[in-house]
Amino acid sequence: MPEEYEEIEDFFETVINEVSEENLTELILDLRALTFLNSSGIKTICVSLVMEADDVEGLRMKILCSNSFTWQVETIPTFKDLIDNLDIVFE
Amino acid sequence: MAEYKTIMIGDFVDSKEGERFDLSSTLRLRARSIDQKRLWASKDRSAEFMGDIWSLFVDSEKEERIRTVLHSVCVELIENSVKYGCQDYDYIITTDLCLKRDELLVYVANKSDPSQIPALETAAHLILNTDNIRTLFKQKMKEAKAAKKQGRNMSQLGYIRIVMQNVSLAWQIEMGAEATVVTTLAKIPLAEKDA
Repeated sequence: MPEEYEEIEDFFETVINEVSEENLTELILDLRALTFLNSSGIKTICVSLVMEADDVEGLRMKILCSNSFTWQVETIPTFKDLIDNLDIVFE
Repeated sequence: MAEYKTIMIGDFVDSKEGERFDLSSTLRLRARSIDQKRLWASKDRSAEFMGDIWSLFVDSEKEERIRTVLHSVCVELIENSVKYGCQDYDYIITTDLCLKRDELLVYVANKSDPSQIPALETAAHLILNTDNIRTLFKQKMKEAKAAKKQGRNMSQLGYIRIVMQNVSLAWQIEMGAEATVVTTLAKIPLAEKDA
């Protein structure tokens, strides 16, 4: 059911906390092998990771994507509407 | 005497006009034989199956995009049906796919609790009346973040995600004496240039 993303949300929360505590300056999310993602998954990445990363001072986020998957080509660029400090790299 | 009422939202085309379609198929998921957890677990496979099979019937250069879009549309609509469908009835989800020359029509119907209809109508009108779907996406993500901080789970992203893929939506809501049947129609254009 919808709570299937709770584990990933918890993982993202841990990542953000550690990045913040260690004063890291770059966070990379590698989605290149992800063939499909539904709206709940997209929301989880946006809300629990991308937008949270934007709240960490001095942190820049990068998302690695694949041109091979239509959903990534059509969806990931819209994440730039959410935060300024985001690099999206397609290969 | 019981009152029957049908509401259409958006440009809804009746699936009963099936004889005018070049191809059509129906998948019925029966609540009586599949419990909700198994239904939820099966939704991705069902949607992927739809995308794989139906993409074979479009021009080869569109095959990959149609497979992806159809998979995405089916997964969002079937998810909604499982989440908001009423388990008290027999068939809770019916998915009809109809191929016309220039578009693919996906109908997903489920019986629903009448109390959920006002929220559906609000969401449908919000989607249809928005000028910029990416702005709405951004707004909904901000609302979801605020809701999360308050310990609430909020999304409403499924319909937005469908429209962001250049697919249009319409709804038919049939209110009967015993149940309300919600049919969501997604129209996937085949004639336009691939994105």
